[in-house]
Amino acid sequence: MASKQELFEEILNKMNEEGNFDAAVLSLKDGLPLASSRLHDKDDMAAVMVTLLNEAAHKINRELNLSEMDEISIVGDDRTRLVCRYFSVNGSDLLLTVVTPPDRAYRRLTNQTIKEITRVWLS
Amino acid sequence: MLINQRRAEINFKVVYYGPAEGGKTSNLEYIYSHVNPIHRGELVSIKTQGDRTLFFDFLLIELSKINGLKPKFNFYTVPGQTIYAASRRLVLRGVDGVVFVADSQENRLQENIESLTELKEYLHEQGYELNEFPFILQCNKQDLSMATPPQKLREQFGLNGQPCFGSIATQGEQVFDTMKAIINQVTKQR
Amino acid sequence: MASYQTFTVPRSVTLSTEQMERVEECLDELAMNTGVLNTLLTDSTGQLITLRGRIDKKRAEALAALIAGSHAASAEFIKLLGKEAPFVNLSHEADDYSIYSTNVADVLILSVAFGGEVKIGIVRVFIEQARSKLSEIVHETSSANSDDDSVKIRLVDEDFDHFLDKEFEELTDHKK
Repeated sequence: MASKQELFEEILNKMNEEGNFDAAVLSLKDGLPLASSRLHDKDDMAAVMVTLLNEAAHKINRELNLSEMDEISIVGDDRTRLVCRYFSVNGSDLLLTVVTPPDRAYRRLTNQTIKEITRVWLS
Repeated sequence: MLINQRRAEINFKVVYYGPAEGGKTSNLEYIYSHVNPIHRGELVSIKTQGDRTLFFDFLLIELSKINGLKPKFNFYTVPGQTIYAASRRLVLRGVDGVVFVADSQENRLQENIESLTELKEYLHEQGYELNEFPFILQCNKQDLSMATPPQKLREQFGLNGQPCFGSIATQGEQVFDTMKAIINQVTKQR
Repeated sequence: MASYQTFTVPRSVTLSTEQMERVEECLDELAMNTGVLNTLLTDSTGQLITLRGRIDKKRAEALAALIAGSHAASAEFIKLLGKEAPFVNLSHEADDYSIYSTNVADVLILSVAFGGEVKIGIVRVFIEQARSKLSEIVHETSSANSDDDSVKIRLVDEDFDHFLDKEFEELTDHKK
């Protein structure tokens, strides 16, 4: 029987295939990776960088008194996008980070992925 | 002491205590190399590069089932050097019985007494008094020319009435007798 | 018929058969969720309670003593640093193999060993869940026995001396 990590990685792989995304990582809010797709040996670093980004964004959010964040998106010169989606399952704060090529829709697919991850987590 | 009803096991912890280089590790090494492997586990030794005990030695000995329970004895030694007092205190936690391995050489009397005093203090912290606790005195290095006889050493320590053995641990003399005596003590009524 | 002598020892940890079943279910679930190679449950004095995986039992018993030593040592150095709250988790990481262990209610230690392909985040999350469940079981034990200062055990009386003599003969009687 597959471990949770293997199941999460299947979900991420499926998402990447469907959306033609470059890479994805699921991590805890403090940066510890839970599962990754197409990042392999870089996923520790990726998760940490995303956590730093997340902390900076939350700080800005508080300073500017904006409402709760659901997503951070960074677009590069070549219009490649790094997307971080926040969600909680069973008391654990999680980050789903996805790297998408230019002009690719991601919102619906990441919503679906979050639902599937939640389902597997709670099963 | 740990009872595992599912496995039908009862675990006891026995610590070999005493001053540095008194023969605590030698006791365990002898036991390890002379006990039937099916009745013992691995000998674990955490040592310095100078071959001195750094944290502890550990050896598990199993006996056959009795009254539906299999007695298992977890033997530990402590590091004897003065700087490792904190480690000795840790290793003594949860102890069920102690073998005090004294160095019988005349010129080591002071170290023996200091070690015994420390042992009494650490046992007291756990709510035990030495004279009411499973305890065996082993007076090691009886082969050396300046060795004090066991009965005299026992008197010098103020331990009259406590079981006492004179040993040569490196040669196995009285090693098993000591071990049997402490096993007897920890399993019988106090 | 053998005569029995009852004696009393200070209370330590007693897990009933039913509690052990629940403990083992918890460890099975942990292993399944995380894909770890080996799982060990020990008491805080270094005695092995149960294990999962392909590790040899005698090795596991030695490992239990070492892990407990690590936890005990780390508890002492945090005290020396003047902090009150002890370390709950310890992590030992090598290139392709890691051991992660957690303190359960100051009485037990739960440890897992895993290869490089398992993510530390997964281990941390699910070992925390297991720790919660095991803590509940431990607290049941404490409250069930809170009226007893001691556990009564029965061992054989005169027969025991004879038993011990026989055992020692067998212990030392082998061909090297």
